[in-house]
Amino acid sequence: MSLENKVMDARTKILNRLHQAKIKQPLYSITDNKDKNNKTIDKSNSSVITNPGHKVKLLIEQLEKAHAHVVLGGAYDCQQQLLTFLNQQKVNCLLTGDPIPENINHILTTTSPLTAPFPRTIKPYAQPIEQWKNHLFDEGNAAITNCLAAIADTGTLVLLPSPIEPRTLSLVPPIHIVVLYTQQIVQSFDALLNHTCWPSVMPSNIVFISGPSKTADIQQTLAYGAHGPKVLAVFIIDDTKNE
Amino acid sequence: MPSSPFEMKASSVLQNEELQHSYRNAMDYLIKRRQQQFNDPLEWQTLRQKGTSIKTAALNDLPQLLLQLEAKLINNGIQVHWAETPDEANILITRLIKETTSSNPDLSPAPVVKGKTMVSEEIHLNQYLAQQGIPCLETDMGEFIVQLAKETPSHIIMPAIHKNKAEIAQLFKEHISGIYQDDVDILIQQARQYLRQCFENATVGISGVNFAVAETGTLVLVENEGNGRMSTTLPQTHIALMGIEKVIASLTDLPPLLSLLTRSATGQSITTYINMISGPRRKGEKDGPEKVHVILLDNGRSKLWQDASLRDTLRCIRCGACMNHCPVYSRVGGHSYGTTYPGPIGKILAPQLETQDNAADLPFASSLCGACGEVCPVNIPIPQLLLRWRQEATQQYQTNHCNHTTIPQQPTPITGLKYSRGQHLIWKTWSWINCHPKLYYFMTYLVTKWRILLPRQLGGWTLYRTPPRPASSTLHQRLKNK
Repeated sequence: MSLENKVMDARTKILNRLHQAKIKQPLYSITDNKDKNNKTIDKSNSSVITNPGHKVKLLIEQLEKAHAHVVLGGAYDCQQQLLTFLNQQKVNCLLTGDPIPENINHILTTTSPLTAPFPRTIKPYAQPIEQWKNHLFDEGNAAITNCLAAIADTGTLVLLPSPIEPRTLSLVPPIHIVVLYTQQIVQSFDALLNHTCWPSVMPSNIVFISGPSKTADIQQTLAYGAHGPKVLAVFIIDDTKNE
Repeated sequence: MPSSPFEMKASSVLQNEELQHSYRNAMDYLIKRRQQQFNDPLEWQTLRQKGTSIKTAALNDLPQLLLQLEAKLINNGIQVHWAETPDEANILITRLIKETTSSNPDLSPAPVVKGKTMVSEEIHLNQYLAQQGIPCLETDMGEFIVQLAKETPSHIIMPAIHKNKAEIAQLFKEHISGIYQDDVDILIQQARQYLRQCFENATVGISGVNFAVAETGTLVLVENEGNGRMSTTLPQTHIALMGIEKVIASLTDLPPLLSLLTRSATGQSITTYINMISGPRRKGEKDGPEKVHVILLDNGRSKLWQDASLRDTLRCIRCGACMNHCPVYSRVGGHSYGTTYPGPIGKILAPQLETQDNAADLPFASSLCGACGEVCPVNIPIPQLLLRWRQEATQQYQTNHCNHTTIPQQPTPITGLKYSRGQHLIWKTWSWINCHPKLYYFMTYLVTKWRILLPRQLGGWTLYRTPPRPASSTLHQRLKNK
């Protein structure tokens, strides 16, 4: 018997066994579980507030707890802070999506007195990874990407990799910089699933990122930069004032 | 005196102060972190009920959901395979690895990188691949350490929990750096550098799956380190191995389950990375695997599923909270069990999932304190299931005249393994005496009168305790005389 047949057999055998038993287990009824005062009992605070200021504050608090570097400000502020950050971290080769997303291009190229205090290359992810591995692994010491949304409750950035900004851009370089706008912040994962920004058809990959890569596998001692980025920097541009 | 393999291993761990210290510290750390997450009992209860309902409902619809998942995955360009036994899964994986390498003859022997997956431990994949001449590298820091030491994981979430810093530093000196140093940050950086090269050249990546969403055909992987993302993104082929019980109905089931998992496991409100994979590299994309394979493994799960009460075991989301809170696990450690999954959940999985003989001993290695059941995020009645397996092991093989309706007609792999004629006779006599009041009074009269004759040595009991002595009069007598 060929292996294929054997494997087909496995499928049939497993499903047959599952079709044999007709046991249904009872489910809890969740609606019964309210306390005496009929208080809502969701820690995620989803129903509590929709104050945008609160969401931003919570997001920053959670991200900083997870050891992320967070900056909040107007577009110009963020641009200045980003330059300072790049200098501090001695970034001399910054990887970006290809073509460079318009907003990021704007941040990086707008002339200001602080631009380029030291030589810095900007390298867009121009080729498939097979031809681009050395740029990704050896040259780029930071990457900058956009994100789809952010979840305030858990301090999570939601990234939707695409042909422009591939999966590895947010994974391989030791520093990952994310540009986020305050209007992109949602309260909870539940809220995100109901938000208009959530794709109707699942893309090949969606990643939730809640801090720099870390591990506590050696004697419960927390160490950052296990396999992914050692530093996660989030620049939150306040776009509520413009309305 | 210890007799079973479990007892022998356990007693050596109990005498090892270093290990006792490692486990105690690690358990205290994990217990405290979990406690901080669930400080609101009402919120915990609600979330737990939600999670339990979702998993129960998914198991109720298991056959339909598996078919839906299969169809969606195929639709997304992912190839689906089924394996009934560990052997079948191993053969399949080997074939898939060879297919990838033979299509690229210029590649030297295919390095295979693996993200943390307990199912691969369950099928002993590393050993099998090694026999086929295919080296498979563990990339999770804990698993990497365990692999260097040629051991197996001692905990399902923190595999190297039994090793201290000095031992790990020594391992790294021997295998990676050549120089002894025990700074944790530097150790991690050494492993990072070493494993990065492997990621860069790997052609096949193997991973587990935390949740598989039937509605969208999405594989959800949870991790902190990024090695899971590396293993599933960089190699040309990604092979995801999952137990059939990992399927859930829809994306909206994810928020409560993820919250329960990460908070119970490591006390984090969320892990660093949640990776949702719904297909291989699509047209125009510049990275991601060209091929994604999913292997749906049964290995005894469908048998657990067929039994109304044992099915509860399959709700498990592998958070490890039951072992963290177990007074037995925290003292005897993960390796004493001799099974892939240690601790309370391991004891109730082993009888169907493992081939080891000691599977029948494990349900007895419990004080039945109930801690595992209390902390379980999906409310698995572990203590009751331990009792159920004890019954299963001690009942006489192929006798169906038992009064307990819960015991199925079909014997399980451990049915009757612990049956003892003597014990059976004692219990029969005991129940017979208790069913006859006159005899019962006569016996209790004898016991109270002759209590002085009770032997001073009562086997294992009196090794560490004074012998119990019956009272001079029974409760019935005392109440009567009042």
